[in-house]
Amino acid sequence: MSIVKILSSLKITLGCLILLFILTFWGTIDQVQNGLYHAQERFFHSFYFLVFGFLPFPGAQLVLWILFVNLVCAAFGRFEYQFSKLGIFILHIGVILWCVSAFVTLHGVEESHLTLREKEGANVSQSYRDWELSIWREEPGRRIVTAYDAKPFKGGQVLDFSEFGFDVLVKTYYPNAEAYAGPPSGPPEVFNPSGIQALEPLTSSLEPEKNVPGGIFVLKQESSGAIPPLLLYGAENNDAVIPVGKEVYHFRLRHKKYPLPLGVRLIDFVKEDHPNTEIARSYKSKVELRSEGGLSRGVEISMNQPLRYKNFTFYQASYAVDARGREISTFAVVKNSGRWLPYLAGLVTFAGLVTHFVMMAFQRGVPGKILGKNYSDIR
Amino acid sequence: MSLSKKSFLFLVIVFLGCERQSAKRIYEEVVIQEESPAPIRAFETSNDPHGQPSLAWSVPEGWIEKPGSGMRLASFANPKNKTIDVSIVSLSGSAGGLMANVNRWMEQLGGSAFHETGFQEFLQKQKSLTTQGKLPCLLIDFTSLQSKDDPSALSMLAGVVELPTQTIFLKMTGALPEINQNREALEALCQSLKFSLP
Repeated sequence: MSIVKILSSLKITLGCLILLFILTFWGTIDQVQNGLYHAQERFFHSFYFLVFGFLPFPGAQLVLWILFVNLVCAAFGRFEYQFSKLGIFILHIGVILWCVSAFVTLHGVEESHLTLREKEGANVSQSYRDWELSIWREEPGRRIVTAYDAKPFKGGQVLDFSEFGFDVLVKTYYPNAEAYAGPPSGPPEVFNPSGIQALEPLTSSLEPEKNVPGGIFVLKQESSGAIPPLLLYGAENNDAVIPVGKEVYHFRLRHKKYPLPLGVRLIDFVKEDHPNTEIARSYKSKVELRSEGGLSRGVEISMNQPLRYKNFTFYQASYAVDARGREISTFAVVKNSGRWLPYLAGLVTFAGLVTHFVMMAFQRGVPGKILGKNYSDIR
Repeated sequence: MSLSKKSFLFLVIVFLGCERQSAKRIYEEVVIQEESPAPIRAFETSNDPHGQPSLAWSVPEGWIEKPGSGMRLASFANPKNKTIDVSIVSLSGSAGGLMANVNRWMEQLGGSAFHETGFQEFLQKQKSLTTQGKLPCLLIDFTSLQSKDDPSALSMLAGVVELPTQTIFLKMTGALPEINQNREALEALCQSLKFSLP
Protein backbone atom coordinates (compact mmCIF):
# COMPACT_ATOMS: atom_id res chain seq x y z
CA MET A 1 0.00 0.00 0.00
CA SER A 2 1.49 3.37 -0.98
CA ILE A 3 2.19 6.06 1.61
CA VAL A 4 -0.45 8.26 -0.03
CA LYS A 5 -3.12 5.59 0.51
CA ILE A 6 -2.18 5.30 4.19
CA LEU A 7 -2.15 9.06 4.72
CA SER A 8 -5.48 9.56 2.97
CA SER A 9 -7.28 7.20 5.37
CA LEU A 10 -10.72 8.29 6.50
CA LYS A 11 -9.80 7.08 10.00
CA ILE A 12 -7.12 9.80 10.16
CA THR A 13 -9.71 12.43 9.10
CA LEU A 14 -12.11 11.24 11.78
CA GLY A 15 -9.35 11.10 14.43
CA CYS A 16 -8.28 14.66 13.58
CA LEU A 17 -11.83 15.98 13.77
CA ILE A 18 -12.34 14.34 17.19
CA LEU A 19 -9.02 15.79 18.44
CA LEU A 20 -9.97 19.25 17.16
CA PHE A 21 -13.27 18.99 19.04
CA ILE A 22 -11.43 18.03 22.26
CA LEU A 23 -8.84 20.80 21.83
CA THR A 24 -11.46 23.47 21.11
CA PHE A 25 -13.52 22.43 24.13
CA TRP A 26 -10.49 22.08 26.44
CA GLY A 27 -8.92 25.35 25.26
CA THR A 28 -12.18 27.25 25.78
CA ILE A 29 -12.47 25.96 29.35
CA ASP A 30 -8.77 26.53 30.07
CA GLN A 31 -8.73 30.17 28.98
CA VAL A 32 -11.06 31.06 31.87
CA GLN A 33 -8.38 29.94 34.34
CA ASN A 34 -5.15 30.70 32.50
CA GLY A 35 -6.00 33.54 30.16
CA LEU A 36 -6.56 33.76 26.42
CA TYR A 37 -2.92 34.07 25.39
CA HIS A 38 -1.73 30.99 27.31
CA ALA A 39 -4.69 28.91 26.12
CA GLN A 40 -3.93 29.90 22.52
CA GLU A 41 -0.24 29.09 22.89
CA ARG A 42 -0.79 25.76 24.67
CA PHE A 43 -3.72 24.28 22.77
CA PHE A 44 -3.77 25.92 19.36
CA HIS A 45 -0.32 27.23 18.43
CA SER A 46 1.64 24.21 19.71
CA PHE A 47 2.53 20.93 18.04
CA TYR A 48 2.10 19.12 21.36
CA PHE A 49 1.80 19.89 25.07
CA LEU A 50 2.22 17.88 28.25
CA VAL A 51 -0.75 16.85 30.36
CA PHE A 52 0.10 16.44 34.09
CA GLY A 53 3.65 17.44 33.17
CA PHE A 54 4.59 14.19 31.40
CA LEU A 55 1.82 12.93 29.10
CA PRO A 56 2.16 14.37 25.56
CA PHE A 57 -1.05 15.43 23.82
CA PRO A 58 -1.20 16.71 20.21
CA GLY A 59 -1.72 20.45 19.79
CA ALA A 60 -4.03 21.98 17.19
CA GLN A 61 -1.16 22.94 14.90
CA LEU A 62 -0.01 19.31 14.59
CA VAL A 63 -3.58 18.07 14.15
CA LEU A 64 -4.28 20.66 11.44
CA TRP A 65 -1.07 19.76 9.59
CA ILE A 66 -2.05 16.07 9.66
CA LEU A 67 -5.56 16.97 8.48
CA PHE A 68 -4.09 19.11 5.70
CA VAL A 69 -1.78 16.30 4.52
CA ASN A 70 -4.67 13.83 4.85
CA LEU A 71 -6.94 15.97 2.68
CA VAL A 72 -4.27 16.60 0.04
CA CYS A 73 -3.46 12.86 -0.11
CA ALA A 74 -7.17 12.07 -0.32
CA ALA A 75 -7.46 14.46 -3.27
CA PHE A 76 -4.68 12.60 -5.11
CA GLY A 77 -5.07 9.03 -3.87
CA ARG A 78 -8.63 8.29 -2.86
CA PHE A 79 -10.88 10.76 -4.52
CA GLU A 80 -12.97 9.61 -7.52
CA TYR A 81 -12.98 12.35 -10.11
CA GLN A 82 -16.53 12.11 -11.40
CA PHE A 83 -18.81 14.91 -12.45
CA SER A 84 -21.41 13.74 -9.90
CA LYS A 85 -18.90 14.43 -7.10
CA LEU A 86 -17.93 17.93 -8.25
CA GLY A 87 -19.52 19.56 -5.16
CA ILE A 88 -17.57 17.29 -2.76
CA PHE A 89 -14.36 18.06 -4.64
CA ILE A 90 -14.93 21.83 -4.35
CA LEU A 91 -15.73 21.35 -0.64
CA HIS A 92 -12.37 19.61 -0.15
CA ILE A 93 -10.59 22.49 -1.86
CA GLY A 94 -12.48 24.86 0.48
CA VAL A 95 -11.31 22.97 3.60
CA ILE A 96 -7.71 22.91 2.32
CA LEU A 97 -7.97 26.68 1.78
CA TRP A 98 -9.15 27.05 5.40
CA CYS A 99 -5.97 25.25 6.51
CA VAL A 100 -3.87 27.53 4.29
CA SER A 101 -5.56 30.66 5.74
CA ALA A 102 -4.96 29.35 9.28
CA PHE A 103 -1.27 28.93 8.45
CA VAL A 104 -0.96 32.38 6.86
CA THR A 105 -2.85 34.00 9.74
CA LEU A 106 -0.70 32.24 12.35
CA HIS A 107 2.59 33.19 10.74
CA GLY A 108 1.70 36.33 8.83
CA VAL A 109 -0.37 38.47 11.18
CA GLU A 110 1.28 41.21 13.21
CA GLU A 111 -0.79 42.93 15.88
CA SER A 112 0.52 46.16 17.30
CA HIS A 113 -0.58 49.63 18.33
CA LEU A 114 0.23 53.21 17.45
CA THR A 115 -0.23 55.82 20.16
CA LEU A 116 0.02 59.49 19.21
CA ARG A 117 -0.56 62.81 20.90
CA GLU A 118 -2.15 65.54 18.81
CA LYS A 119 0.38 66.93 16.30
CA GLU A 120 2.65 63.91 16.76
CA GLY A 121 3.39 61.40 14.05
CA ALA A 122 5.27 58.13 13.55
CA ASN A 123 6.06 55.54 10.93
CA VAL A 124 6.40 52.57 13.28
CA SER A 125 3.85 50.81 15.46
CA GLN A 126 4.64 49.02 18.69
CA SER A 127 4.05 45.44 19.83
CA TYR A 128 1.84 44.75 22.83
CA ARG A 129 4.00 41.98 24.25
CA ASP A 130 7.20 41.42 22.24
CA TRP A 131 10.44 43.25 23.00
CA GLU A 132 13.60 44.13 21.12
CA LEU A 133 17.10 45.34 21.82
CA SER A 134 17.52 48.46 19.69
CA ILE A 135 20.65 50.44 18.93
CA TRP A 136 20.81 53.62 16.87
CA ARG A 137 22.84 56.71 16.24
CA GLU A 138 20.86 59.83 17.01
CA GLU A 139 20.04 61.94 14.01
CA PRO A 140 17.60 64.85 13.87
CA GLY A 141 14.06 63.73 12.96
CA ARG A 142 14.95 60.19 12.00
CA ARG A 143 17.01 57.28 13.13
CA ILE A 144 18.20 54.08 11.48
CA VAL A 145 17.58 51.42 14.11
CA THR A 146 19.23 48.02 14.24
CA ALA A 147 17.24 45.66 16.44
CA TYR A 148 17.08 42.04 17.56
CA ASP A 149 13.93 40.33 18.83
CA ALA A 150 14.47 39.72 22.53
CA LYS A 151 12.27 36.62 22.82
CA PRO A 152 14.98 34.02 22.10
CA PHE A 153 17.75 35.81 24.05
CA LYS A 154 19.88 33.47 26.15
CA GLY A 155 22.87 34.09 28.36
CA GLY A 156 26.08 33.79 26.33
CA GLN A 157 24.45 34.71 23.00
CA VAL A 158 26.44 37.14 20.86
CA LEU A 159 24.53 39.64 18.71
CA ASP A 160 26.21 40.94 15.60
CA PHE A 161 26.24 44.74 15.27
CA SER A 162 29.22 44.78 12.92
CA GLU A 163 27.88 47.83 11.06
CA PHE A 164 28.58 49.79 14.27
CA GLY A 165 31.95 48.08 14.76
CA PHE A 166 31.04 46.03 17.82
CA ASP A 167 29.14 42.94 18.98
CA VAL A 168 26.86 42.69 22.01
CA LEU A 169 27.07 39.74 24.39
CA VAL A 170 23.85 38.87 26.21
CA LYS A 171 25.24 38.20 29.68
CA THR A 172 21.89 37.78 31.45
CA TYR A 173 18.35 38.10 30.19
CA TYR A 174 15.09 37.74 32.13
CA PRO A 175 11.77 37.82 30.18
CA ASN A 176 10.14 39.25 33.31
CA ALA A 177 12.07 41.04 36.02
CA GLU A 178 11.98 43.64 38.76
CA ALA A 179 14.60 46.36 38.93
CA TYR A 180 16.37 47.61 42.05
CA ALA A 181 18.39 50.72 42.72
CA GLY A 182 21.87 50.02 43.95
CA PRO A 183 23.55 50.90 47.24
CA PRO A 184 24.12 54.66 47.67
CA SER A 185 27.90 54.33 47.97
CA GLY A 186 30.53 52.40 46.09
CA PRO A 187 31.25 52.22 42.38
CA PRO A 188 28.47 50.75 40.23
CA GLU A 189 29.09 47.31 38.73
CA VAL A 190 26.89 48.01 35.73
CA PHE A 191 25.89 51.13 33.83
CA ASN A 192 22.24 52.13 33.75
CA PRO A 193 20.90 55.59 32.86
CA SER A 194 18.19 55.45 35.56
CA GLY A 195 20.37 54.24 38.40
CA ILE A 196 19.16 50.63 38.36
CA GLN A 197 21.87 48.33 39.66
CA ALA A 198 20.24 44.92 39.97
CA LEU A 199 17.55 42.77 38.38
CA GLU A 200 15.49 40.10 40.06
CA PRO A 201 13.82 37.49 37.80
CA LEU A 202 10.07 37.02 38.13
CA THR A 203 7.77 34.25 36.96
CA SER A 204 6.28 35.16 33.60
CA SER A 205 2.82 36.62 33.94
CA LEU A 206 -0.21 34.81 32.53
CA GLU A 207 -0.93 38.09 30.74
CA PRO A 208 2.30 38.52 28.73
CA GLU A 209 1.75 42.25 28.15
CA LYS A 210 2.47 42.68 31.88
CA ASN A 211 5.94 41.15 31.58
CA VAL A 212 8.80 43.63 31.76
CA PRO A 213 12.14 42.16 30.67
CA GLY A 214 15.58 43.15 31.77
CA GLY A 215 19.10 42.09 30.96
CA ILE A 216 22.78 42.80 31.23
CA PHE A 217 24.63 43.30 27.96
CA VAL A 218 28.36 43.60 27.30
CA LEU A 219 29.82 45.52 24.38
CA LYS A 220 32.53 43.51 22.68
CA GLN A 221 35.02 45.37 20.54
CA GLU A 222 38.74 45.75 20.33
CA SER A 223 38.96 48.89 22.48
CA SER A 224 35.92 48.53 24.76
CA GLY A 225 37.83 47.95 27.96
CA ALA A 226 36.48 51.09 29.63
CA ILE A 227 32.78 50.40 28.95
CA PRO A 228 31.11 48.64 31.90
CA PRO A 229 28.35 46.06 31.34
CA LEU A 230 25.06 47.71 30.39
CA LEU A 231 21.91 47.03 32.40
CA LEU A 232 18.75 47.64 30.37
CA TYR A 233 15.23 47.39 31.77
CA GLY A 234 12.01 47.44 29.74
CA ALA A 235 10.15 49.93 31.95
CA GLU A 236 12.79 52.63 31.73
CA ASN A 237 12.08 56.00 30.18
CA ASN A 238 15.72 56.63 29.39
CA ASP A 239 18.02 55.51 26.60
CA ALA A 240 21.50 54.40 27.55
CA VAL A 241 23.73 56.76 25.60
CA ILE A 242 27.19 55.28 25.10
CA PRO A 243 30.08 56.82 23.19
CA VAL A 244 31.98 54.20 21.21
CA GLY A 245 34.92 55.53 19.25
CA LYS A 246 33.85 58.75 17.52
CA GLU A 247 30.13 57.90 17.53
CA VAL A 248 27.46 58.08 20.21
CA TYR A 249 24.99 55.20 20.32
CA HIS A 250 21.59 54.88 21.98
CA PHE A 251 20.73 51.50 23.53
CA ARG A 252 17.22 50.58 24.58
CA LEU A 253 15.31 47.44 25.56
CA ARG A 254 11.86 48.39 24.32
CA HIS A 255 8.67 47.03 22.83
CA LYS A 256 9.25 45.63 19.36
CA LYS A 257 8.59 48.15 16.59
CA TYR A 258 6.97 47.36 13.27
CA PRO A 259 7.68 49.65 10.30
CA LEU A 260 4.54 50.97 8.59
CA PRO A 261 4.27 51.63 4.85
CA LEU A 262 3.32 55.25 5.59
CA GLY A 263 3.75 57.95 8.18
CA VAL A 264 0.71 58.72 10.34
CA ARG A 265 0.29 62.11 12.04
CA LEU A 266 -2.57 62.84 14.44
CA ILE A 267 -4.08 66.20 13.49
CA ASP A 268 -7.08 66.24 15.81
CA PHE A 269 -8.93 63.88 18.10
CA VAL A 270 -12.66 64.40 18.56
CA LYS A 271 -14.69 62.81 21.36
CA GLU A 272 -18.43 63.24 21.53
CA ASP A 273 -20.22 62.41 24.79
CA HIS A 274 -23.82 61.44 25.40
CA PRO A 275 -25.71 64.58 26.50
CA ASN A 276 -25.03 65.65 30.13
CA THR A 277 -22.62 62.75 30.74
CA GLU A 278 -18.94 62.02 30.30
CA ILE A 279 -19.71 58.72 28.59
CA ALA A 280 -18.25 58.62 25.08
CA ARG A 281 -20.83 58.35 22.30
CA SER A 282 -18.20 58.30 19.60
CA TYR A 283 -14.61 59.18 19.08
CA LYS A 284 -12.64 59.72 15.93
CA SER A 285 -9.18 60.78 14.86
CA LYS A 286 -8.32 63.07 11.99
CA VAL A 287 -4.96 61.94 10.70
CA GLU A 288 -2.58 62.93 7.96
CA LEU A 289 -1.07 60.06 5.98
CA ARG A 290 2.32 60.57 4.39
CA SER A 291 3.24 57.93 1.85
CA GLU A 292 6.78 56.97 0.92
CA GLY A 293 6.56 59.04 -2.26
CA GLY A 294 5.99 62.18 -0.18
CA LEU A 295 2.28 62.47 -0.94
CA SER A 296 0.05 63.56 1.90
CA ARG A 297 -3.71 63.28 2.48
CA GLY A 298 -6.14 63.65 5.36
CA VAL A 299 -8.21 60.69 6.59
CA GLU A 300 -10.70 60.17 9.41
CA ILE A 301 -10.50 56.99 11.51
CA SER A 302 -13.47 56.32 13.78
CA MET A 303 -14.78 53.47 15.90
CA ASN A 304 -16.60 51.74 13.03
CA GLN A 305 -14.52 53.08 10.16
CA PRO A 306 -11.00 51.66 10.24
CA LEU A 307 -8.38 52.77 7.75
CA ARG A 308 -7.22 50.06 5.36
CA TYR A 309 -3.95 50.56 3.49
CA LYS A 310 -2.28 47.68 1.63
CA ASN A 311 -2.16 44.79 4.15
CA PHE A 312 -2.58 47.11 7.13
CA THR A 313 -5.74 48.01 9.01
CA PHE A 314 -5.80 50.83 11.59
CA TYR A 315 -8.62 50.62 14.13
CA GLN A 316 -9.54 53.43 16.55
CA ALA A 317 -8.81 51.60 19.82
CA SER A 318 -8.72 54.04 22.74
CA TYR A 319 -7.92 57.55 23.85
CA ALA A 320 -6.49 59.40 26.84
CA VAL A 321 -5.69 62.92 28.01
CA ASP A 322 -2.22 63.80 29.27
CA ALA A 323 -1.29 66.13 32.11
CA ARG A 324 -1.30 69.17 29.82
CA GLY A 325 -4.77 68.38 28.56
CA ARG A 326 -3.56 67.18 25.17
CA GLU A 327 -5.56 64.34 23.70
CA ILE A 328 -3.89 61.03 22.93
CA SER A 329 -5.28 58.58 20.42
CA THR A 330 -4.38 54.89 20.19
CA PHE A 331 -4.86 52.85 17.03
CA ALA A 332 -4.77 49.07 16.94
CA VAL A 333 -2.70 48.14 13.88
CA VAL A 334 -3.16 44.75 12.25
CA LYS A 335 -1.00 43.58 9.38
CA ASN A 336 -2.48 40.55 7.69
CA SER A 337 -0.89 39.46 4.43
CA GLY A 338 -3.65 36.94 3.80
CA ARG A 339 -6.73 38.78 4.98
CA TRP A 340 -8.69 37.73 1.89
CA LEU A 341 -7.92 34.04 2.34
CA PRO A 342 -10.65 33.27 4.93
CA TYR A 343 -13.22 35.01 2.69
CA LEU A 344 -12.00 32.99 -0.30
CA ALA A 345 -12.07 29.74 1.71
CA GLY A 346 -15.60 30.50 2.93
CA LEU A 347 -16.73 31.32 -0.60
CA VAL A 348 -15.25 28.10 -2.05
CA THR A 349 -16.79 26.00 0.77
CA PHE A 350 -20.16 27.66 0.15
CA ALA A 351 -19.85 27.03 -3.60
CA GLY A 352 -19.01 23.37 -2.91
CA LEU A 353 -22.06 22.91 -0.66
CA VAL A 354 -24.38 24.64 -3.16
CA THR A 355 -23.01 22.60 -6.07
CA HIS A 356 -23.37 19.37 -4.11
CA PHE A 357 -26.95 19.99 -2.94
CA VAL A 358 -28.11 21.31 -6.32
CA MET A 359 -26.66 18.27 -8.07
CA MET A 360 -28.27 15.97 -5.48
CA ALA A 361 -31.61 17.69 -5.98
CA PHE A 362 -31.54 17.35 -9.76
CA GLN A 363 -29.99 13.90 -9.93
CA ARG A 364 -32.19 11.88 -12.24
CA GLY A 365 -34.50 9.38 -10.48
CA VAL A 366 -33.32 9.93 -6.93
CA PRO A 367 -36.22 12.00 -5.52
CA GLY A 368 -38.83 9.50 -6.65
CA LYS A 369 -37.17 6.32 -5.34
CA ILE A 370 -37.15 4.93 -1.83
CA LEU A 371 -35.52 1.56 -1.19
CA GLY A 372 -35.74 0.75 -4.86
CA LYS A 373 -39.47 1.35 -5.08
CA ASN A 374 -41.17 4.09 -6.99
CA TYR A 375 -42.69 6.75 -4.78
CA SER A 376 -46.03 6.52 -6.59
CA ASP A 377 -46.21 2.76 -5.87
CA ILE A 378 -46.05 3.36 -2.12
CA ARG A 379 -48.85 5.86 -2.25
CA MET B 1 -0.03 9.06 -7.94
CA SER B 2 2.37 7.84 -5.30
CA LEU B 3 4.97 9.54 -3.20
CA SER B 4 8.03 7.56 -2.11
CA LYS B 5 8.67 7.07 1.61
CA LYS B 6 12.11 8.70 1.27
CA SER B 7 10.65 11.86 -0.26
CA PHE B 8 8.04 12.01 2.47
CA LEU B 9 10.66 11.62 5.21
CA PHE B 10 12.76 14.34 3.57
CA LEU B 11 9.81 16.75 3.62
CA VAL B 12 9.12 15.96 7.30
CA ILE B 13 12.78 16.61 8.24
CA VAL B 14 12.82 19.89 6.29
CA PHE B 15 9.59 20.99 7.98
CA LEU B 16 10.78 20.11 11.50
CA GLY B 17 14.11 21.79 10.81
CA CYS B 18 12.43 25.17 10.34
CA GLU B 19 13.20 26.91 13.65
CA ARG B 20 12.55 30.58 14.36
CA GLN B 21 15.63 32.51 15.38
CA SER B 22 16.22 36.00 16.65
CA ALA B 23 16.37 37.88 13.38
CA LYS B 24 18.29 41.10 12.93
CA ARG B 25 16.14 43.90 11.64
CA ILE B 26 17.13 47.31 10.35
CA TYR B 27 14.45 49.96 9.92
CA GLU B 28 14.04 53.70 9.73
CA GLU B 29 12.13 55.32 12.56
CA VAL B 30 10.70 58.79 12.15
CA VAL B 31 9.06 60.52 15.08
CA ILE B 32 7.23 63.77 14.33
CA GLN B 33 6.84 65.94 17.41
CA GLU B 34 5.91 69.55 17.97
CA GLU B 35 9.38 70.11 19.33
CA SER B 36 12.28 67.84 20.15
CA PRO B 37 11.90 66.03 23.48
CA ALA B 38 14.02 67.28 26.32
CA PRO B 39 16.85 65.03 27.49
CA ILE B 40 15.86 63.07 30.56
CA ARG B 41 18.20 62.91 33.49
CA ALA B 42 18.68 59.88 35.70
CA PHE B 43 16.16 59.70 38.57
CA GLU B 44 14.14 62.53 37.11
CA THR B 45 11.27 62.08 34.75
CA SER B 46 10.21 64.73 32.35
CA ASN B 47 6.83 64.42 30.67
CA ASP B 48 6.71 67.66 28.78
CA PRO B 49 8.43 67.66 25.40
CA HIS B 50 7.95 71.39 24.90
CA GLY B 51 10.91 72.81 26.69
CA GLN B 52 8.65 74.36 29.32
CA PRO B 53 9.09 73.61 33.02
CA SER B 54 7.98 70.08 33.65
CA LEU B 55 7.25 68.14 36.80
CA ALA B 56 10.22 66.24 38.24
CA TRP B 57 10.71 64.07 41.29
CA SER B 58 13.19 61.70 42.91
CA VAL B 59 12.39 58.05 43.43
CA PRO B 60 12.48 57.19 47.16
CA GLU B 61 14.98 54.55 48.24
CA GLY B 62 13.65 51.03 47.87
CA TRP B 63 10.96 51.97 45.37
CA ILE B 64 11.04 51.37 41.64
CA GLU B 65 9.56 53.70 39.10
CA LYS B 66 7.36 52.39 36.31
CA PRO B 67 6.48 54.35 33.20
CA GLY B 68 3.32 56.39 33.21
CA SER B 69 0.24 55.10 31.44
CA GLY B 70 -3.13 56.69 30.75
CA MET B 71 -3.64 59.51 33.24
CA ARG B 72 -0.60 58.54 35.30
CA LEU B 73 2.57 60.55 34.88
CA ALA B 74 4.41 57.82 36.74
CA SER B 75 3.78 54.79 38.93
CA PHE B 76 5.92 53.39 41.71
CA ALA B 77 6.10 50.07 43.52
CA ASN B 78 7.96 48.71 46.47
CA PRO B 79 9.19 45.18 45.68
CA LYS B 80 9.13 44.34 49.40
CA ASN B 81 5.50 45.46 49.85
CA LYS B 82 3.52 43.93 47.03
CA THR B 83 0.20 45.67 47.79
CA ILE B 84 1.66 49.16 47.50
CA ASP B 85 0.70 51.10 44.38
CA VAL B 86 1.76 54.74 44.03
CA SER B 87 0.80 57.08 41.23
CA ILE B 88 1.37 60.67 40.21
CA VAL B 89 -1.53 62.24 38.35
CA SER B 90 -1.86 65.85 37.27
CA LEU B 91 -5.24 67.22 36.28
CA SER B 92 -6.10 70.64 34.96
CA GLY B 93 -7.83 73.21 37.16
CA SER B 94 -9.15 72.11 40.56
CA ALA B 95 -10.00 68.59 39.26
CA GLY B 96 -13.47 68.75 40.80
CA GLY B 97 -12.32 70.21 44.11
CA LEU B 98 -10.51 68.74 47.11
CA MET B 99 -13.65 67.75 49.03
CA ALA B 100 -15.13 65.86 46.08
CA ASN B 101 -11.88 63.95 45.59
CA VAL B 102 -11.47 63.13 49.28
CA ASN B 103 -15.07 61.91 49.44
CA ARG B 104 -14.55 59.76 46.34
CA TRP B 105 -11.49 58.18 47.95
CA MET B 106 -13.46 57.64 51.18
CA GLU B 107 -16.05 55.69 49.22
CA GLN B 108 -13.31 53.65 47.50
CA LEU B 109 -12.05 52.67 50.97
CA GLY B 110 -15.53 51.64 52.06
CA GLY B 111 -16.18 54.72 54.21
CA SER B 112 -18.92 57.29 53.98
CA ALA B 113 -18.52 60.78 52.56
CA PHE B 114 -17.80 63.83 54.74
CA HIS B 115 -20.22 66.68 55.24
CA GLU B 116 -18.80 70.20 54.98
CA THR B 117 -18.14 70.65 58.73
CA GLY B 118 -16.67 67.18 59.18
CA PHE B 119 -14.47 67.70 56.14
CA GLN B 120 -13.01 70.97 57.50
CA GLU B 121 -12.28 69.28 60.84
CA PHE B 122 -10.59 66.37 59.03
CA LEU B 123 -8.50 68.78 56.95
CA GLN B 124 -7.24 70.63 60.00
CA LYS B 125 -5.72 67.39 61.30
CA GLN B 126 -3.74 66.75 58.10
CA LYS B 127 -0.05 67.51 57.70
CA SER B 128 1.15 70.02 55.12
CA LEU B 129 4.63 70.51 53.75
CA THR B 130 6.50 72.55 51.19
CA THR B 131 8.25 70.61 48.45
CA GLN B 132 11.75 71.10 47.10
CA GLY B 133 10.25 73.18 44.30
CA LYS B 134 8.40 75.43 46.85
CA LEU B 135 5.03 73.85 46.08
CA PRO B 136 2.44 73.55 48.88
CA CYS B 137 1.54 69.91 49.48
CA LEU B 138 -1.23 68.64 51.74
CA LEU B 139 -0.91 65.04 52.99
CA ILE B 140 -4.29 63.36 53.36
CA ASP B 141 -3.98 60.45 55.79
CA PHE B 142 -6.87 57.98 55.74
CA THR B 143 -5.18 55.50 58.09
CA SER B 144 -6.25 57.56 61.11
CA LEU B 145 -9.88 56.80 60.23
CA GLN B 146 -9.33 53.04 60.14
CA SER B 147 -9.05 50.34 62.77
CA LYS B 148 -5.57 48.87 63.06
CA ASP B 149 -7.05 45.44 63.90
CA ASP B 150 -7.54 44.44 60.28
CA PRO B 151 -4.11 44.07 58.60
CA SER B 152 -5.65 43.38 55.19
CA ALA B 153 -7.77 46.54 55.16
CA LEU B 154 -7.24 48.72 52.07
CA SER B 155 -5.91 52.11 52.99
CA MET B 156 -4.60 55.26 51.37
CA LEU B 157 -2.23 58.13 51.86
CA ALA B 158 -2.32 60.96 49.37
CA GLY B 159 -0.40 64.14 48.70
CA VAL B 160 -2.31 66.94 46.99
CA VAL B 161 -0.64 69.95 45.40
CA GLU B 162 -3.16 72.61 44.40
CA LEU B 163 -1.86 75.13 41.88
CA PRO B 164 -3.72 77.87 40.02
CA THR B 165 -3.83 75.92 36.75
CA GLN B 166 -3.57 72.31 37.84
CA THR B 167 -3.84 69.90 40.73
CA ILE B 168 -1.23 67.20 41.29
CA PHE B 169 -2.16 64.03 43.15
CA LEU B 170 0.41 61.64 44.62
CA LYS B 171 -1.66 58.68 45.72
CA MET B 172 -0.47 55.58 47.61
CA THR B 173 -2.89 52.67 48.11
CA GLY B 174 -2.27 49.28 49.70
CA ALA B 175 -2.77 47.19 52.83
CA LEU B 176 -2.87 49.27 56.03
CA PRO B 177 0.39 47.94 57.61
CA GLU B 178 2.29 48.43 54.33
CA ILE B 179 0.93 51.96 53.97
CA ASN B 180 2.36 52.73 57.41
CA GLN B 181 5.72 51.19 56.41
CA ASN B 182 5.89 53.37 53.28
CA ARG B 183 4.62 56.58 54.85
CA GLU B 184 8.06 58.21 54.98
CA ALA B 185 8.83 57.22 51.39
CA LEU B 186 5.67 58.92 50.12
CA GLU B 187 6.50 62.01 52.14
CA ALA B 188 9.99 61.96 50.57
CA LEU B 189 8.42 61.69 47.11
CA CYS B 190 6.16 64.67 47.88
CA GLN B 191 9.15 66.59 49.24
CA SER B 192 11.13 66.01 46.03
CA LEU B 193 8.43 67.41 43.76
CA LYS B 194 9.51 70.38 41.66
CA PHE B 195 9.17 71.96 38.27
CA SER B 196 12.42 71.90 36.37
CA LEU B 197 13.56 73.21 33.04
CA PRO B 198 14.66 70.48 30.71
